[in-house]
Amino acid sequence: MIEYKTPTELLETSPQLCPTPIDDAFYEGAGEALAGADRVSSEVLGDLEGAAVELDAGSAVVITLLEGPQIVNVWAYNQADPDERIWHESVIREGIFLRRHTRVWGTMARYRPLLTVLEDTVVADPQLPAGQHHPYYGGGGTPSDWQFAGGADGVKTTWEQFRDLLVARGVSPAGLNEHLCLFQRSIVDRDRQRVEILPSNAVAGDRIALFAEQDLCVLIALSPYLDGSTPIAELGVPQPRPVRIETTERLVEPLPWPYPGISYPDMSRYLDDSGTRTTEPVPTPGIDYSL
Amino acid sequence: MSTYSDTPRKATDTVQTLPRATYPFDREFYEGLVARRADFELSNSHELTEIGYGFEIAAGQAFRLTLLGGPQILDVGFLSSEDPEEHFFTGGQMAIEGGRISRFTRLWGTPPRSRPLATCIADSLAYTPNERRTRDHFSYGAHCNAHLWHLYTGVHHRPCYDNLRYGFAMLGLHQRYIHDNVNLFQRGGYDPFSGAHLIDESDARVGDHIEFYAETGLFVSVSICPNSGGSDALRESWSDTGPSDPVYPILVEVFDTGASPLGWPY
Repeated sequence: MIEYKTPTELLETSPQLCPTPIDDAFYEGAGEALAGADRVSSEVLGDLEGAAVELDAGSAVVITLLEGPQIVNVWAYNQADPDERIWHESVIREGIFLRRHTRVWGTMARYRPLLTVLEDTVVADPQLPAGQHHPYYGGGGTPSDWQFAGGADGVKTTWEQFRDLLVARGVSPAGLNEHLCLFQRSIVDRDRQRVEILPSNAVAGDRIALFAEQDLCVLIALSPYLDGSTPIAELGVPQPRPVRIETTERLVEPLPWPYPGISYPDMSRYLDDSGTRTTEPVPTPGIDYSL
Repeated sequence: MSTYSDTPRKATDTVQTLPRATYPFDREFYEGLVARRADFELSNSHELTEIGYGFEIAAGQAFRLTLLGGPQILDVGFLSSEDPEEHFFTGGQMAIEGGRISRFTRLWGTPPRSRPLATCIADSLAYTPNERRTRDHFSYGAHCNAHLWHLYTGVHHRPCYDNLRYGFAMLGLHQRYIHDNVNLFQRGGYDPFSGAHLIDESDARVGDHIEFYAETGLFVSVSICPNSGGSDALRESWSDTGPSDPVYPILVEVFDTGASPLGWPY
């Protein structure tokens, strides 16, 4: 039986704006299973072409730094329905920085967890406690941003890597939105509310493991920003540090969302018979829209 | 290069962060727009009688959102009317401008164009500083949805996702066009230590307005958020009494500015 704090209890105690019940014991168990799990695939990514891995629900992807700190950008979508993808509204439930057991939530209409952090070995320099790793909103990663930062010509940005991976899979890149910036160290400028980049504290051997709550396609791109320590205009053509990408066998059957006892909207207001969001230009039925 | 000062939790501490991209900004052009605001010609005006509203605006026009009844959070989504798959992009916005929105803040769109979609040219709010450094108008809060209302109150209520859907439906667009949005007249910020999203009571008062100049033709959808003016602990809004909190009307006005956009890139 899942034991968790009720939403009301969470509202009273959580620092997050919209906290969500979590079965920590379940994820502890999944983390323990990770250590002894067989690796189904393993590859080394060492260039700016990106990689895509297909994850079965209940399995995990483990990303390990091989030669030192390197920002690794990650984006993911539901294999069966690319319209369902990770989305930054996750932040109001989980905070900006991913930590162990942070969940990465997906888009409407299901608005459910897609990935959960099982393991994170990075240790941030305690001299600056506000500087933390693995932020959402870590950076645009766009060609425009690279150009205006004085980046060298011909360098494939994160967005371009993701775009090409999607196009190769017959998925429209129009759905690309904010991505996770793993191993990136960041700090929030409280006045501008901008997530600034600091030199990463990650070292060779550090790793992060993400548990798949659904069948997902996970896109992985090495950032041309490298480890965040060198101004873009001084980088020249960046040589990223390689990472190992491994996927595991199924660790455990994921928990369903919602948890038992959690009130959940009527999905027929949003989904069609195929189980995907409708494309009729109509309002959500059953709502009084008058002021 | 920017610096960060860590106060008041400990002695001032500055760190060097990675220099960010510098985007050109023709301040003279926008100051000229601001100076001529009184001469803008009203094209149309609509006092909202619904909690969702969608409208189209041409490049070079401006639109103004004015609070009529009290502090009222507005979630606003923007799409390019030339290509509705081009939309406001929070990730890019956070990297370029940060999360704040006020006069001369540009609202940036998705790649590959990565261009400004709109520029704020007026913001009447009188900001009162606080220790948490929260401030009205930000670009990263996304929008409430039926899931959150069900989770905390057990009822569907009238969340922003549905209101935005209503507004886009008025423009012949379906729900998959709902993407990132800005949160206007909502006071927020991030705690740099916990990374948590903070919400405080808005500074907004009746009559306050915010105005945007359209850099390109836009489809705009506005949601009157059921959380009205927020609170010093938004959680109160999620309580059983939350669904009965009042929401307030706003006025949407569209103006002809007489000024064509500069285009992008310069």
